[in-house]
Amino acid sequence: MSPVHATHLAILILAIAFATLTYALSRRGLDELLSRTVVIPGGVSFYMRAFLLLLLYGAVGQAVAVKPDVKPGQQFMEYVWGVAAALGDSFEYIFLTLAIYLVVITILVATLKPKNDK
Amino acid sequence: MTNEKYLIVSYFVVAGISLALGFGVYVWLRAPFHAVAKALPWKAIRELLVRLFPMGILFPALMGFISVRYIGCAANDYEHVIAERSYLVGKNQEQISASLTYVIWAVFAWCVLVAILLAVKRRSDRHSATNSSEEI
Repeated sequence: MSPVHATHLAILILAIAFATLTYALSRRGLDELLSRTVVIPGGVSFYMRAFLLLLLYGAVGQAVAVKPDVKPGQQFMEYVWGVAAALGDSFEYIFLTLAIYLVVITILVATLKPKNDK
Repeated sequence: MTNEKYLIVSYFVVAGISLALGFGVYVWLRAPFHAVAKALPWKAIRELLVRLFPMGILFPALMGFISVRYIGCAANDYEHVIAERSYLVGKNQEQISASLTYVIWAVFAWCVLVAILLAVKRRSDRHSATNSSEEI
């Protein structure tokens, strides 16, 4: 495997890992909030699945399109900088996805009002 | 494989991948979406939503794929397009990325639509509860 391909693969793996970590960290709280807000069966599952999809597709979509500025024969740290620069785009997109999703969930919660707020 | 052959093969393979990405999302969200639609009291809307849902995911996936143009500033005719393999590979990457991005926006749109329907249903439930208590 050429260093350029390895860089691309590293970007893809790290982007997926970051998206999965974001989902894992917010899953419990989001599930609890949605369970108290959306009483219809399937509603919670729909929003949780959509959230995972949005994060993963957003991260992979950016990681696939990125063209890392690395060439064979460069120093190790130059590859690391290439990966870091490319990951920036993926992180930006994950953040944007997260922000829009949170706006949708906030509107949902404000409209439906959770069952009890204790 | 010549660049021209690569262009033909990769174009249809990536089209298939884009559709598969959309289909994957549809399969993943189908069951919970049907459960939400089933809970709606209006039969006509319920049926309409269930029928439109696959199209509302698959079309954006295909639209993202189609939105990428091979002929542009970097290559203004067919000869320039097939001149370099790296250009073709880059376009394939762009197609997959665009397809994923369009699917994301479609899922956002469905999330908003479900939120609106849930809010309307809640309102309708409250109305019918108020009416029945007034009758008593």
